[in-house]
Amino acid sequence: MSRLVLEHLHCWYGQTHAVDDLSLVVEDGELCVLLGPTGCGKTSTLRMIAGFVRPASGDIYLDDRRINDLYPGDRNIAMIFQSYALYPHKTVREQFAFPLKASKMSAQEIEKRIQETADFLHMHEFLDRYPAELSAGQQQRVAVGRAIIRRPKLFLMDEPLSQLDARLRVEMRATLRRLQQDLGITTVYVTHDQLEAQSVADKIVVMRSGRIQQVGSPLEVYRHPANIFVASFIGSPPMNFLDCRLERRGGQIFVRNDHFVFALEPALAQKVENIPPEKRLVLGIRPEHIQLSPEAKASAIPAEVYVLEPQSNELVVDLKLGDLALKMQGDKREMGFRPQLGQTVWMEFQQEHLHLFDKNSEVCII
Amino acid sequence: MASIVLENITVRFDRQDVLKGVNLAVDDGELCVLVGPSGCGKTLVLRVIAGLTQPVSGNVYMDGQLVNDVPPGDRDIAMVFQRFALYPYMTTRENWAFPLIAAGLPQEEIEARIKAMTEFLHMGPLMDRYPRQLSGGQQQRVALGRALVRRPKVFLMDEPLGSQDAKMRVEMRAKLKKLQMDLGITTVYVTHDQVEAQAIGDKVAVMEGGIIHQVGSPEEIYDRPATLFVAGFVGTPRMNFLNCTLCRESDGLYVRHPLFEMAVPPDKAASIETAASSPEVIVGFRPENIRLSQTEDVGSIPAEVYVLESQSNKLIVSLKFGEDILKMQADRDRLGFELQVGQKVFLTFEREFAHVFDKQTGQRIN
Repeated sequence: MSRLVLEHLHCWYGQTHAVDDLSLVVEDGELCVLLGPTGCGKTSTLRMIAGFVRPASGDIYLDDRRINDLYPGDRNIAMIFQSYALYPHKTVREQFAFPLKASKMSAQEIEKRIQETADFLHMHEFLDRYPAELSAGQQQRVAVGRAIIRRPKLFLMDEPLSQLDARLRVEMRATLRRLQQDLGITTVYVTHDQLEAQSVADKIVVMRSGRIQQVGSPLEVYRHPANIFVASFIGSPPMNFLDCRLERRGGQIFVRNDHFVFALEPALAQKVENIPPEKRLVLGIRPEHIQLSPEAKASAIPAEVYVLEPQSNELVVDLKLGDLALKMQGDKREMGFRPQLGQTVWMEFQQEHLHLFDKNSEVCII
Repeated sequence: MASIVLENITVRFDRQDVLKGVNLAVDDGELCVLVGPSGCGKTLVLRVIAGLTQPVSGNVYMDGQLVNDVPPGDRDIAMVFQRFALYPYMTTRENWAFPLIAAGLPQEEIEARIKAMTEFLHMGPLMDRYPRQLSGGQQQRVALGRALVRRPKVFLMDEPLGSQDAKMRVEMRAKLKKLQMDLGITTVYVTHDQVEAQAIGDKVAVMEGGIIHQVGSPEEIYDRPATLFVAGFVGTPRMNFLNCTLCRESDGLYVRHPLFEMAVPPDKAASIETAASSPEVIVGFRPENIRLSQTEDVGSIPAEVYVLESQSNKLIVSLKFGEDILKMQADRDRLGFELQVGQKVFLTFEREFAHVFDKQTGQRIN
């Protein structure tokens, strides 16, 4: 059982406020991903948890015990790095044994744990091989094995898949996810790759400039982004953003900009009733929530097909609407027609997936 | 105006053939992508076209003219590399003017071309900046602009988006595709990224081990991969492969797997039987061509949910299926029920989307 609690952590590098008042709870057995672009403070946070960096202020608790003042080696935390940092001249068996020998465990107990770990990771046949004789996936398992053999309370992983090629990364993330679930070890995982984050996480913490933007399940941060930053960071191709205002006419509420106007469905209209018409808003709609039709429809907005990008069974269509550019994405089989370059098509937004943001604060309204 | 034809190109390093009889035709104005894993020979093909590498045998034609003996500088080709190779001490304007001055163009002509390119690439405010004062995306445009102002017959691009982050790459590839279409300059584009290859290519050539496995439109290589390699390389998550046996029964031809069997449609049976070098075949299904249900149905096969991965509006489900792990991908909303790890489910293959390969030769036989 281990639960990690971070309270009001701050970290400074000179004049740079690398982590700014970060509070977070990672529940027992949970895999929590710290996600954000370079410089967002995710790795600094990880280093504070590991004990490599001292927070300027704030507390770190592991199982209700404050660990701020413990040395990294005394925190019972295991780390897995980008390059697995395996000892090149040691066999798998020796890699596994090394951290145990350092803690002066009996030879018998060490052998027992090596066998258990090899069982768990299906590594028996590789115990006498050197890292150079192993595939990338096997090396990863060795790194995991070396970390779990100590039975740590907490796993910290810093971009553990970033060295692998795209194909292997997609495969290894599922393996890693399953392994962590089987082990049930509380894990904090750092990545800049939003697809990887969605794939492995129970909980995603989206960070920017040292501050938490949103904490939620992969589905929550995708469906209900807290602000424009999260909305644009999660999902690929990214959400389309269009400046707009609201307009009231004949008991209905319309979304308007220079290029289009459409009526909000009653459920949405209700939510924006109190927004004054002069308020500057940003409409957000994801490429997968735009529908295209080759024929004119009353409620639809005409646009021009600008670029076509096939994407496996899907098609990404770049659309031009005056000086605005949008992307839509759809399953080729379900689109019902093949858009042609230069063609005028009619697009409709799936309103249950439509977002409105405050242009000034960038905070999500609906 | 330029078409490119490569005829039986062989390149040898250290007595080893690194390109083994490559044939490729790129039509005038076309964007042809060479895609494959590192070491497959894709960059070498580019170098042969540019004249930087001499093949031991084979011919290179541009516009029908044999150019084997034409030196690189006289082939009227512009190259764009992953590292933009901009002159660090020159502004954007100077970077662009340099090749034109070197070519001895009159001053007015140089200015006219730079002015037109500035507008085309929206570089107005960036013309007097040095490369270090520009973002990666802007440097990219400078590199493109420098190649474009020369108005070459052929563009060769080697991972031109390789140094951009994931989001910028998605944005830039559409712009680059549009730019290339507008200019109509024949382009050969090298990447290791199959997603990018599909998005940008009019024509995609998939390479491995010094040979071209398949040349086709993005749709062709995805919908009808010619070999096992292409099937596994294009598309993510990867196509699922199942070891099966062809069995001739009195009532027709069957594909048999330890856990299921499928009747081969009678109109395909004869050609598959003729094409197969032995009864051992590999049947492939893409993740989106597997359906899941909570209840057993005619022809459905039991499997266990092994890993669940969120992926925006989709879900990737790893399934334990006998000794194999299969991956299926579905739109969350369309799945119709919630999945749990460890849950028993029933899967159905969409048989009309089966890909059948000869196990020995790796060739498609259906």
